[in-house]
Formats: sequence, C-alpha cells, structure tokens
Amino acid sequence: VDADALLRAVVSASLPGASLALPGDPVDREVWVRLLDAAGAQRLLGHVAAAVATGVLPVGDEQLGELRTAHLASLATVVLIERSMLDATRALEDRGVDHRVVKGAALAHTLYDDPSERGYGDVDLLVPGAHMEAALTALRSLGYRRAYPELRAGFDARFTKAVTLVGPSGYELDVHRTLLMGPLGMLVDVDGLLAAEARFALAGQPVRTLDPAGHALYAAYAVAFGDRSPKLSSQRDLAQLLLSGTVDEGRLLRLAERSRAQAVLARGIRSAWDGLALEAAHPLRALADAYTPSAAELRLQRSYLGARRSYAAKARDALGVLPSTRERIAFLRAVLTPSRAFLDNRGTSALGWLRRGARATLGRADG
Amino acid sequence: MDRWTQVDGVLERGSLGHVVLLAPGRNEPSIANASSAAVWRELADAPTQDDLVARIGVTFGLDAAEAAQGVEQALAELHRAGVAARGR
Repeated sequence: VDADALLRAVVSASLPGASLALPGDPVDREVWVRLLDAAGAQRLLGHVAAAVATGVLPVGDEQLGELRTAHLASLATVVLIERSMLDATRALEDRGVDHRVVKGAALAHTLYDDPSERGYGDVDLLVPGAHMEAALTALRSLGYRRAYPELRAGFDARFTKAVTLVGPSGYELDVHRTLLMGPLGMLVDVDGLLAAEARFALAGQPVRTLDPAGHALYAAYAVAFGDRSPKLSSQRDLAQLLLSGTVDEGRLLRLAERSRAQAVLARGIRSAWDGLALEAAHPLRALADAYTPSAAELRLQRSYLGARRSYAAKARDALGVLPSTRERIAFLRAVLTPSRAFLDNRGTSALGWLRRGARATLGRADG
Repeated sequence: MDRWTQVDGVLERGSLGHVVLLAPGRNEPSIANASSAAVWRELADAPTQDDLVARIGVTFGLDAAEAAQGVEQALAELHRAGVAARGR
C-alpha cells in the first residue's frame, strides 16, 4: 500500500462517488508512519481521524493512540489560532471594517459536520481594498506586525494579493485584498464575492464569512493555481462544497464570469474530481469537462503554470489587465522600484531585484 | 443542589473520543480524555453532580462509587482548566 495513495483514498472516503479502495486491515508500520507524516504535513489528520472514527480505515490500538495524539496536538494549535481570530474579527467589527473569514477557519465551521475534520494553520481574512489600511491599523492595535515590508507605499490597498501579519502569539494572519497573485487575482470580482455574506458562531461570537458560492470560487482558485501541485485539502473542500447542494450554482457561474475565471473554475473542478477519483455526477463537472479555454484565458494562466511560473511573470501579466494607464504606471513603478525596506528584507539591491525579475520574466531562472 | 455548567466562550475540538478545550483568557489548551470529555459534554445542560454520576455510570458501565470518583476527578480537572463552573 502506498501512503500517498492511501491518504488520497482517506480524504475522499466520505464523499459521494468515492472510488478509491481502502485496506480491509490495519496497514503495516512503515506505511502507517508515512501516512501520519504526510497527513500531518498537509493538515489532513482530521480526515484520517474521521475515517478511523467511522470505521472505513481500520487501525490497531497503537495506531489509534498515535493518531489521536498527533491530531489532538494539531487541534490544540487550532483552538489557539481561533482565539486570535476571534480577537481580530472583534477588533474589525468594533472599527466598522468590512471583512470575511475565508478558507480553512471558515470552512471548518460551515462545510464540515465536525470542524475538527478540517485542519488549518493560519487565519485568512478577505477585505475590500478600500478597507485594507483600516484593517491593518485595527490589527496593529492588537499587536500584529507585518511579516515583510510593503513593496511600496500604497501597494497593499491597490494591488497586493495579501498582507501577512504575525500576531503576539506567533500565529500568522493573512489579510487578503484578492484571492491570488498575478493577472487572475487582479480580475477577481471581490465586491461580488463580498456582496453575499454568511455567518457562523464560534464560542458565542458571530463571525462573518462568504456564502457557499464564494467559498467554491475561492477553492477553485486554490485548486487550479494556488500551488505547484493542488492540495488535497483544497480539492476536498471544492468537491464537498459542490456536492453538498448548498452552492448557488448560478451565482457561482456569474462570479466566475465577472472575474474572467470560467477556465479557473473548470480547471479546479476537473482537478478536484480527478485528484480524488470521484465518480459522482454533478452538472458543474459536466460543464467543466466540456469547457475549452479561449486563447485569452490561456494567456491569463501562463504565469501560473510550468517552468515560467514566477512572481515576475505574474507581475508582467498583471500589468496587462489593469484597467487604466494610471494604474499600470503605479503598479510598474512599485514592482520595478520597491522601497528600501522591502529590498533590505529580501537581501537584495535595486539592481539585483531588477536582474532577478528580468531573468524570471525571460524564463531563464525562477524569480 | 449546585449545578455544573460549561463556561461561556470555551473553544473546543474533538478527536476519537478526547477533546481539546481552551478557556477564555487562557493560553494553554487542556486535553480531556474520554471520561473527562464525556463529563464535559454532559455539562451542556447544567446537571447536578448527582445527575452527572448517574449518567456517567450508565455510559461507562460503572457502579455508583466508581462513577462518583470519576466524575469528581473530571470536574476538578475541568474546573482547573477554566472550562467548567459551579452554579445554581
């Protein structure tokens, strides 16, 4: 039994149409250790624990104890992160800063029957660009500090994907202006995403989040272009969202269209279904299969894929989708001539920064 | 008789019968084993200690003395962790 294949089977096991076989007896020691290591590294211990609890993954007594210990340790971190999230969202509420909790922290409470199943390691907030400065000010008052300097003054509110903050307890909080870097990120209809709001209660405190269609679009970006290889957790999130019947599919398709992300959505859905080997029928899976990206959509995707994937390539392609000359000039100035603090943080000079960007853009090295 | 309750604002997660609990204002989560976790869950409807002993005895198949000792110990742990409180 291959541990990676076993983990994939475990993650998909409780979804409709799951087709991957699970062993009928406890796996041997070597496979078990590799399974736990991989699940821990990918924050998937909750899915393993759920599979054991429901009896679909048989384990011995020793394995049960090891899994429980590892999962409880990760959950101890999760509750500390949640405490910091509640403090942060309360501060934003008090100052009238529009925000939504997104990704793992929200999905754990809105998508999964047992929030312990969905692990995560940081808090992600989505705010409108116009509220970015107010959000950062509110969070600074709680002791949050930037993980790295702003590229150039004003960049965060207008162009950045997210600002990473580190809280007093050491946990990270990402304040997102959009869902990903590069041209596709610049095109996201964030106002449309924020237009519908859902809430969940945590320790008696209401928390704002996206509606299921917004979560599904977010998950599709994560699956399609979030990492070099799609994360199993994101594939599971997207598949579960769509199969849960809670997503307003018309709204999801409209959001994708307004964000020029139909190809992203199609790619994400195909990846989730294929990655988890799901045999469940779904109208959006059928649409995704039939979708052929246009030449323009393929151009939008090129900086996210293959050897040409780089920060510099994403910046180059983002320039092409900005709506005005003024925006393009401001973006180009920031990207080409970052602040001294930013360069110092990266350990490079202005010239070194330009050389690295040029090499990456021309495809001769990673940027 | 005094009733026992869950403290408001506790953050909670569970795995395979055990639970992780974080009380308001604390920086160190507590882990409750299966019996303490069962007691914790029972506190949701503010039982008396006698009620708790009866329920835990049934759940774990214990006699009254064993159940009373287990409940006493679990309540002490949960109280120390700041997640359980005594009230009327």
